[in-house]
Amino acid sequence: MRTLSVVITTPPSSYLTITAIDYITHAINAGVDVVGVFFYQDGVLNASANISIPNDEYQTHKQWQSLNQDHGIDLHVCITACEKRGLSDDLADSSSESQSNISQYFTVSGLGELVELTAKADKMVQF
Amino acid sequence: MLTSSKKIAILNASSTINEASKEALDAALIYGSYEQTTSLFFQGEGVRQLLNNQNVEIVSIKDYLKTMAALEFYDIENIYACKASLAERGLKEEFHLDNVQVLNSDDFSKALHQHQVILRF
Amino acid sequence: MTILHVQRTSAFDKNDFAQCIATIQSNDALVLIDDGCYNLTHSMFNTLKNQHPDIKIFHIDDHAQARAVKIENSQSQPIAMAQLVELTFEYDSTITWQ
Repeated sequence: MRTLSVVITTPPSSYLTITAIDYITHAINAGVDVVGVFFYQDGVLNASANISIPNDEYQTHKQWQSLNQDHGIDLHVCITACEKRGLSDDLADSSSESQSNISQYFTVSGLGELVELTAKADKMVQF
Repeated sequence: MLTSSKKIAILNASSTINEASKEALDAALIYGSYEQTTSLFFQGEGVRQLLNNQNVEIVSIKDYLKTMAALEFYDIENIYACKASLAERGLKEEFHLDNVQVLNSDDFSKALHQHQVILRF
Repeated sequence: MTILHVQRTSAFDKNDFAQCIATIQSNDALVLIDDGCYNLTHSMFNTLKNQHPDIKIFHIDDHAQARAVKIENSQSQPIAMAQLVELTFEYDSTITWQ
């Protein structure tokens, strides 16, 4: 079986991210095993639990949710890049009710996961 | 330790004072620490990252250029700069690293073609 | 080895396409996606064709249509996203120019 990993560096507000989701969806439909998606740089903003996009616009965050829930695609975020951008899974000292503002559909990872995904997949494509 | 025979290229295209440049270096160092064969390529505005006498701390940026000195400890020894990119910016080959290989466009491209994974930042 | 060049930005706006053209070899392929479709009317596109007359060039048809970019089939072959997935596996590596 052909294997693929994808690196996302564009934020959820960018139309470029729609293309990335379209590509991943077509890879799944073609029977490609998508071993994981790694979010880096501003791409980590896709993992925010607080994204709200008007209903008549493309629902980037819901598409990521669907890729994870309906297709079992692992969505890894670089925690260092997250924390620089206000996303954390360790908000113990904050006044917010939740300890994390990272979406539950994403897996908190480090750059080591990027290396793992590079090794595991036949091809790695960046978006 | 995972084993992969893939050769990794990090293609640096962002100028020195750009967060993409530091995050590209972080990625390169991680590949190196996992003992993956990794090369660094500098093209376009990316060549500015190699120039000596830069002092990014003046504008309150952590001196990540200094971290590039650690590349050899991670066995990242292949560092390539695009000669045409330097020339079109009027830049001399005066670098803060001493093992930069300056290549013409064709050789730069051929070196890049030796890699199975290419990430551009 | 061969590279699939995925061009996502317009040369009218950014410098990525110039670097792509400087890097591309005759056995590689170019895919114009997103704003990369605008490059078909840029003079650098002719430069590429002159340097590599037989190079394979594709564009995502939907992405060109969305931008009202009209493309002759002699310039570039229209493909759908599914074919970009296939191309990914036909070349040794991919560079995303964005």
